[in-house]
Amino acid sequence: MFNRYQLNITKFSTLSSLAFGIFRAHFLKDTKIPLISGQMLADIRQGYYGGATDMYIPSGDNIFTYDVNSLYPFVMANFPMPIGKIRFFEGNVLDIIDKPFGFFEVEITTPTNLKIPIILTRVTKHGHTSTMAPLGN
Amino acid sequence: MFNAMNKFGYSFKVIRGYLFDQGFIFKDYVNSLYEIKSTTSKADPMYLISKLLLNTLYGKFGMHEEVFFTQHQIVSDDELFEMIDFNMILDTTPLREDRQLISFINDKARDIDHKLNELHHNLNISIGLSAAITAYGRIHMSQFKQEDCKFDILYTDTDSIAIDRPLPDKFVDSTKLGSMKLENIFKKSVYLGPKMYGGLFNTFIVDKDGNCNAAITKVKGYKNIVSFDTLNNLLYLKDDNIQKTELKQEK
Repeated sequence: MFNRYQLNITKFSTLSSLAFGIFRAHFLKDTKIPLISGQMLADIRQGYYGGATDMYIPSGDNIFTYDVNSLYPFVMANFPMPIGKIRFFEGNVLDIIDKPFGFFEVEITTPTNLKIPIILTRVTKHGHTSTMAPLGN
Repeated sequence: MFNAMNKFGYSFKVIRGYLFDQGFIFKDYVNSLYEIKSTTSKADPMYLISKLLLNTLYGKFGMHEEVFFTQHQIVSDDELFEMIDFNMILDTTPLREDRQLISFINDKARDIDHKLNELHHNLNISIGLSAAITAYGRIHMSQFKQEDCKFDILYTDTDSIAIDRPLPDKFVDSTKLGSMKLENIFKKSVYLGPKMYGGLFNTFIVDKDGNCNAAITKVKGYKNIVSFDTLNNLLYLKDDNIQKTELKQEK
């Protein structure tokens, strides 16, 4: 590690903090990443889910299984990340900006005939929280 | 959001939100480490290191604030009882004799809100990044869940799918970042629920530890091997003769 990134691994207690250290020291450059706290942190955390895990058909023959090569690193490298100055707004931003980029609170109407719904939400039922992808309004 | 709107027919009404600038800040980081990962053999420690460095960075921006206030200490039972009064004990691990390893948050650190706010400026949290990364991950996977796909999905996980015929070649490349890699072909498979499934191979397959296997099975949270038949039988149980299938976990 030291040879490549000039960082002393004994200074980092976890791998993710080492990852963060390398990123910050060598790759961040002048970009500004906003520190998010308070209400904004709570709001965006509501939209922070993991991946979708679901079973649709319980059994089958001649099945092919595929994995994405490094899904999260792939999207990190290839999609734009939310950085820089943050602007809060209320109202329908779609009327003003063609393709707004950020985190929004929305009301969703879904098609009712989808084979596999893709938008997730967190539902708490009987004290047990799970994530599901509903259809409807 | 635009992905869901155009390809799936969802519609949205925006109420409020936060607008951000855009930037490809992880491109060089990922490419540099993926280069290491794909050019070293799996036996080389650098392979695992680069893989872990790639996969752990995004979570760092979404860490729970509380983690920063959590302390760990080895204490005796008596000391633990004293600490309960003014600390929130999160976890205890019994050690030898009457010693315990405990994780706790000191009430003082927790209750004072304004102190928390002050500290946030040193925490390096930017949850937007973490949330965006997992969301893009789901968007990327959603291309295989579209209506016009020529295959049926039996099961999906964060980054994998099980389908009833081969994927078109354009999606498959075992070395390219973000492409699909064919993992297994199962003669028979059962999916009982999230993270609980089994698949039977056509022939015996030798795994990386040199073991010969006829099937792969996985049960959430359970480390021992479950036979494929056990899972298969569970699926076909009728309600009126539910048999309890017990799994015992070795420690």
